[in-house]
Amino acid sequence: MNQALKELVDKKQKEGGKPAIDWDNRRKSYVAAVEALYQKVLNALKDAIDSKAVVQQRRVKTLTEDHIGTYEVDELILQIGNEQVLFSPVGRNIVGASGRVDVVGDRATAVLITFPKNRWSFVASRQPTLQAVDLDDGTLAEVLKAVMGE
Amino acid sequence: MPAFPQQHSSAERQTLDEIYEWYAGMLDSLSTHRAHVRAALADGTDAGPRFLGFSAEDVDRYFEGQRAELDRLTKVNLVGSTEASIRLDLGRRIYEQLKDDLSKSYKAWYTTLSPVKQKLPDFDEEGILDRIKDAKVLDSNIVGRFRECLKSRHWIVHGRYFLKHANVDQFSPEEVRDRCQKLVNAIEAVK
Repeated sequence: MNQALKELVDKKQKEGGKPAIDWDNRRKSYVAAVEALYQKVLNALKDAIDSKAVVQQRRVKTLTEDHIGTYEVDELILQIGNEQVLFSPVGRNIVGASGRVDVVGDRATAVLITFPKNRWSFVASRQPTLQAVDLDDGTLAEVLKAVMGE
Repeated sequence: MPAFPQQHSSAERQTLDEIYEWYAGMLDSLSTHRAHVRAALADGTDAGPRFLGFSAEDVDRYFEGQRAELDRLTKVNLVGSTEASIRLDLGRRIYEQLKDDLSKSYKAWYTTLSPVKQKLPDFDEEGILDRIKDAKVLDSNIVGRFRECLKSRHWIVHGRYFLKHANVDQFSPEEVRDRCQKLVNAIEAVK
């Protein structure tokens, strides 16, 4: 066999030996992680939501990603006073993470990324040093302040 | 002895081919890096803090930006190298007192310059390029097509704070290299 052909076949055979990625499962895990994030946010704001100081809404967003295809996932909209904050899923296929949701306010956008086991982090900065802070009630307040302004 | 343009002992001249070869190597590196980061999208692996949280669109936008910047800086280098070639050619023609039409045009103009200008004559408007056109020794389109590349360089090297000329990103590095090479070749051929 021609050497170039042999190398091509060997390469493809090796690639075929890799465990296949279950893209459907990845999509489901991501959509579940987004829902878990929303529940975390809503729990943190429960008192304000109960008193109608914060109003929540949902709307469907359609995402299309390589390998995964087109799917739908909810966006979460929070009306806080006169300002609106949108939690908008960006996708499952994200560098260094298992998914991303952008938090879009009137003044800025913050990036939340998720890791396995539904752990969400806020990317505070990438340069000069990486600062990714785990999302909790305190960090959520920081994120909202950052996108809405003080 | 007039202080005509000449190559300094500390010079680090780059030919058009050297610049283009560097560009090609950088493109390869950029392409490899892009593929690496693109692969990290699928497998979630670490591609460095700069890219953490990047989506596919972010990755594409980042590398397209890098490519655009590489293109711009390469074009600046190509035009700069060409300018140096033309300046050194002018100095050589004056120093060696050559008798061709271009050398005569240079000399007639050069002797009217102040000592400061003789050391660094104007290049574009009212400068060396106009003398090349006046000498009518080469196709004026060659000079005109090179001149179109100067506006981009001017905007980039002077800090990009003023109005961006429409042709800043119009020409590819290949196109600029071609325009530069044609001018350098045409001038070298004038004897």
